[in-house]
Amino acid sequence: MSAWVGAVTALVVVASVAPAAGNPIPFEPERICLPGGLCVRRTPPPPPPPPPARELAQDVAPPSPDAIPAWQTFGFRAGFRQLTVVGEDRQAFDIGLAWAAPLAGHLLAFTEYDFLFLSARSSPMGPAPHGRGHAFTAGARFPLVTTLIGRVRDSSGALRPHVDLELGGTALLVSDDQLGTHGGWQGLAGVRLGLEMVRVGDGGGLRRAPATCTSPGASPPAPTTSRGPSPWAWTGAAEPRRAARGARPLRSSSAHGETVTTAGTRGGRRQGLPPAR
Amino acid sequence: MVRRCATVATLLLVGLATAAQAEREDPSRWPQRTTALHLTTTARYLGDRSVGGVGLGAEVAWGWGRWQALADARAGWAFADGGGGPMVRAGGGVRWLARSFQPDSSAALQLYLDAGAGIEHLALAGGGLTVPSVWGGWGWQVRAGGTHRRLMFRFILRIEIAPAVDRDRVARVLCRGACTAMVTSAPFDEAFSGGLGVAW
Repeated sequence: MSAWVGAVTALVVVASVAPAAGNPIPFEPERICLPGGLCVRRTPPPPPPPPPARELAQDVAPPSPDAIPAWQTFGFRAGFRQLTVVGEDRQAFDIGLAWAAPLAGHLLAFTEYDFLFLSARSSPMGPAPHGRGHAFTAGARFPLVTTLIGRVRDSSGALRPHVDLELGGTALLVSDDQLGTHGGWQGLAGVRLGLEMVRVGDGGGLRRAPATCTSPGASPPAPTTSRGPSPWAWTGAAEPRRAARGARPLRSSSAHGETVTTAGTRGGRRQGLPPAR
Repeated sequence: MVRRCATVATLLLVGLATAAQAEREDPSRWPQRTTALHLTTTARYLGDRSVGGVGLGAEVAWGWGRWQALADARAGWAFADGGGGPMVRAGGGVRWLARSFQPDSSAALQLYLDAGAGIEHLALAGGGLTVPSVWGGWGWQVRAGGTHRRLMFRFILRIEIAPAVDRDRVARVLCRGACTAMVTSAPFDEAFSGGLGVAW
């Protein structure tokens, strides 16, 4: 008899709870108590499964055209320079190093070193002069015009041509076998025409191996699952410059080509690239 | 007990070997030891006079992460107005891997800075000149990926600064005593060298 009572009770309980469990809306009491003090605690429904992961390529936000990467750059450069040393014309081929870092906002500070090979056309009076020199330059760079072309939403990157205004100063020391040793300084104004390759993120599907550009103190490279920007870019630039004012013995104008690697040193927003949507 | 110790030792050795291999294969770290051969050209300025040269150099370097300590030597031939001659050089320095850019697994493009000191002897036709100097330089290289991760092809640039060699001595050696008066008054001499190299 007791077995029958138990079976019927269990059947009633199941018949009562099953519809409630199958139809949780709108009322879901956590406990259901039957007459006689028998209570059944409902198991709360499991949380809804997370939405299926979308392709990362869809999540990567391309950089906006007005986003200027404020990255630390370091690289090498080569160029030509026209000098006037105590009234005599000299040409120089120079090769050097360049470093730049964010100063404030879009303003970049840069510093450069160039080794100069001096020469000039030979004259009827004697052999062609030759010499060497050193140039240390420091200044600030401000972006004037920039845009993005070839933007690819699969995170493979974009090209950022830009025009930057440069202002700064150069300290020069040159030694010439006809004019001797002269030192001086110059103020400079220049325009940098640059083309920068910017990659938004890695792991977008086309490129599995993450590209890395590392430097001490720089952010680690973005892993393949990162939605943020990769901490590197590749920049090539040409910069015609002209000395605005200078010490009397030295005047010059120059044009350089520059190739630098870029390493991120700050967070994604400071790098000028918007976070993932 | 003995078997357990042997197992632990084996695992430890395998782990150390794996770590060393991983270190060697990491393109942002120098291999533990590299050997290099360089073909170099030099332009040396001694006051107003210049001496050019070409040479073949060798280098051994030991790496710790991004740093290398190196010892190098070079032998070549110098060209000067007063007559050329052999030149030899020996020195040492340190090298810092400043940038390593790896677009894919096939290779890494790298930029490094280095500095050191050395001494060079020029045995020219007019006499010998010995020039001690400190130098700083940089280079960029392609470090191979795949199965040849130790292989590096590099382009080298160095700038040397040396205390000014005695001008009378320079005049005797380079001009056979018939130099015009020097106009350069810098208290130091300079040299620039560049070259191509391969390291492994």
